Amino acid sequence: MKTYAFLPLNAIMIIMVILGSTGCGSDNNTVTPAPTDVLGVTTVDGTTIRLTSGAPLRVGYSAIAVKAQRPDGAKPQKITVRTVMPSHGHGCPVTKPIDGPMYGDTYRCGIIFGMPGSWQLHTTIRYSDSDSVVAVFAVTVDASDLVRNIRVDDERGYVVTMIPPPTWKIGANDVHFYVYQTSDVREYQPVDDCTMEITPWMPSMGHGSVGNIQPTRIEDGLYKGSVNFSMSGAWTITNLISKPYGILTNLTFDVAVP
Amino acid sequence: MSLLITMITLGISVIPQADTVRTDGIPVREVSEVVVEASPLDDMARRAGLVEVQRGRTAATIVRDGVTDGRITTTINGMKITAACVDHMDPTSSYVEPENVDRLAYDVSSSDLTYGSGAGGTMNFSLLQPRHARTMADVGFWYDPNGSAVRSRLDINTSVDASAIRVAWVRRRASDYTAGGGVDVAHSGYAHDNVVAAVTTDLDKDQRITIRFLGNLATDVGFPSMLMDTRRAQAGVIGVEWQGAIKGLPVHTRLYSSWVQHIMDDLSRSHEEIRNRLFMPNMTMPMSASTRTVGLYSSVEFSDETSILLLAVDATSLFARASMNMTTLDGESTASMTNVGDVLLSSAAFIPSYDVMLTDDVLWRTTARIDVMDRRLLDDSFASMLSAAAGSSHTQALRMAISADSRLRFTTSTTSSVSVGLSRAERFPTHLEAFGFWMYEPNSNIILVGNPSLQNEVSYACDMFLSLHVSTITMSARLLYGEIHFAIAPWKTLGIENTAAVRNYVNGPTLQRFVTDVQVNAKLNERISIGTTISYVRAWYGQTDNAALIPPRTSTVYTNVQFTAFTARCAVRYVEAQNHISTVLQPENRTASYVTFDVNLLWHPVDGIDILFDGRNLADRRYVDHLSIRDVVAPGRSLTLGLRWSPTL
Repeated sequence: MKTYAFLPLNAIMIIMVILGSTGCGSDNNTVTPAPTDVLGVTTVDGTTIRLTSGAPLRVGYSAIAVKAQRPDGAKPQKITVRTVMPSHGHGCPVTKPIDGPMYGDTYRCGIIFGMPGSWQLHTTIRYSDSDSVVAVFAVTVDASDLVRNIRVDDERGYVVTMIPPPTWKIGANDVHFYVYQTSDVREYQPVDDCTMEITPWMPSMGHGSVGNIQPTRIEDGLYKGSVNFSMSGAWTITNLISKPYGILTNLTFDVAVP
Repeated sequence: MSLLITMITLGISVIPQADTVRTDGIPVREVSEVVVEASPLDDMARRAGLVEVQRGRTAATIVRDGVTDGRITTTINGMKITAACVDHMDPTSSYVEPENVDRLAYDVSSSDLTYGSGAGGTMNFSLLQPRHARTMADVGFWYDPNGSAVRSRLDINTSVDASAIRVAWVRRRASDYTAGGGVDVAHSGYAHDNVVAAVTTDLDKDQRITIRFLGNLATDVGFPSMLMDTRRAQAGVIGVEWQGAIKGLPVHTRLYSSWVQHIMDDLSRSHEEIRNRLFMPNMTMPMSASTRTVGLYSSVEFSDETSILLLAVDATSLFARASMNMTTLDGESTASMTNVGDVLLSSAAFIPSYDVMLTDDVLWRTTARIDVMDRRLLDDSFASMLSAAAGSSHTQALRMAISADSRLRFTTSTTSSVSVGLSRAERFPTHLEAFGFWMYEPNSNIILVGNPSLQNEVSYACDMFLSLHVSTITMSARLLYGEIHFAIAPWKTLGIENTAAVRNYVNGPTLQRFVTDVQVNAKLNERISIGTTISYVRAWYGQTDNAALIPPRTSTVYTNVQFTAFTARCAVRYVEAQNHISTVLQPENRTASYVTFDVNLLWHPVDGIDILFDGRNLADRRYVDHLSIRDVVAPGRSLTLGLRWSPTL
């Protein structure tokens, strides 16, 4: 049995507007920690499915959580999330969460949205081979400058996103990068053989900083490093990404350090 | 049997510390000091066998035996004041005005452990002391056409019963000076005001309380070698000192506080200069820095007929911070940087010192100093940034340092002696070496970053000091060989930013030093004496590099002529070329040899009036002192005329 439910986009928008008025905010690169945003709640065949995120969704990495409850207390065997942007007909990478386990009381994952706009999150709750429910949540993704889509040739494209800390600060800041490869913009595979060289730079001051740690792979497609900002102001982070055969790309992200 | 010796040369004396002189027959703990009476700082330093790091015409940093900064403890009447500027713009000596100083003194031993444990010992400036049973005023005015340098002074002393008060004020102003050959040196003008005040009261015949205050305001420091000028540097020291006896034991206690606020900016620089300068072009960089030091020093002496045991404690607490706000000339971009993020250093030292007469002619002194320091960074974001830059997370540490000095002095007559000593001096890294960030070193155009993980630096030295007085000839000679292990220096390169290398302080190779200086003075007759001084310093890091900013071999020949109302001093100074330069650690340029001629005249026409003439570099020689930061050319011919009026009140 497979059951579908669809939450109207307007309802989601209303929820987000209400939540947005509570003071959650973001700029291009930073996210102010916010109370859990409820992206949607629906009940399908007695299964209540609750989709939440820690902050308003935006282009780049967003962490979401899915919790399914049945009156009999049954535990789902597996939960999966698939993404679709209906207006463009493509998806985006779904990853493990960077800040904790994937499974616990709730299923947690990260989604690397590649474009702003309306997206559908197809959430499948599987209790057994013959017992599953599917809920489709319509969500709105805000714009940001955290994702770069790189088209190498007709066959291959890459998605690179920078995951900043909740707030940039003077001093050492952990920074993550996800690199995914795709050939059909629907399925994405993590890229694990990249070498990264990040360079913080303060264009207005004409200098960089010392004490940075170059990102290295820590999980599938995920690289972790540290950038050390020595002063407040406008910085850029340039990431020279190489593959074993040569340079893949050189990306620059803008950062405002308060 | 007296432990006292006195050696007088021209303007320099090795004498027991005046504070310790007693008349009750008990031996006095003698401190063999090189003492120089007040005169312009460069002259005072030169007469004392010291040199200075020059950054223009004012606020030079004293160098002794090839070491400076954190390796020398500089005090004002035993009170510590901590420079605030992260670019070394305000050495402690910049907060004392030579005209308001009685004398500069330092121990002849290689390491004086009284107030610190650096390889260069302690330099102590003694401020003007109130005089009992005397009411006097002293007014002075000096003018030097080179840079229109004006110095004026007012000094008033009065006393009532057992109390005396003295207040002195010095004001100095100058525009840019002209170097030898006639080129003006931009940004070398300065504006300083300095006030000292002291009140002293004799509570009874054994007890004296003295309260001292020093205030210094510089509204233009005048460092042509630096990127920025200081527009407001203010410093103050206030302390209360009690000298007395408890159960017959001499006790000396001093409680003090000092503070520095140092603000510098680019307001006096043209936009064109800022736009085109080597380091961080297009940027105005006002910087604010402050330090606050609180200290307590107390000592007690136990003595019998042949020995003296002195026990002292020396405790200080330092709080320091510095930050810089930067704005592009177009005002579109701003940034702020913390250079020192709320540093708190608290230290306490216990100092036992034991003097014993082994024979009638041999004195043995052993001194130890045990320091304990707690240092921490209170600014979390700065700690994070510095830790990442320096690769260290030791933002809080409790450290101990043990120093010791032992020496023998053989007295061959009442005026001649030989002393030999061995010393181990262990010092903590300074707050800038440990916690400073983005400090600019203009001489080598490098950026310095502190290192919280630095170990203590340990110096070993053996020295010999010979003092002879034969007939009308006095001579002193000093020989020192020392090694500084775990020498703190910016060896590690972190990267290149803009055009400057970013260097990190580390405990690097051993710094070796060889120092010798000889001073001879011969009194030809009642009126005329001649003398010569020769000093030579070599400092090197094994096979790696020479140390930077080491003075070349210098020889001075002088003559003194003295009549009843007239004295004259003429001096010729020959400074050799310096070819032993640092090429790796702090790259510097070779400097050529040069000769200068100086004349100093004093005429005392009537009681209460002095007319002075101080002529420097009379040949108007264009030269670069090797210790001049970024090779700023030294002042050319300088002809200072002065008038002092000291009416009897």
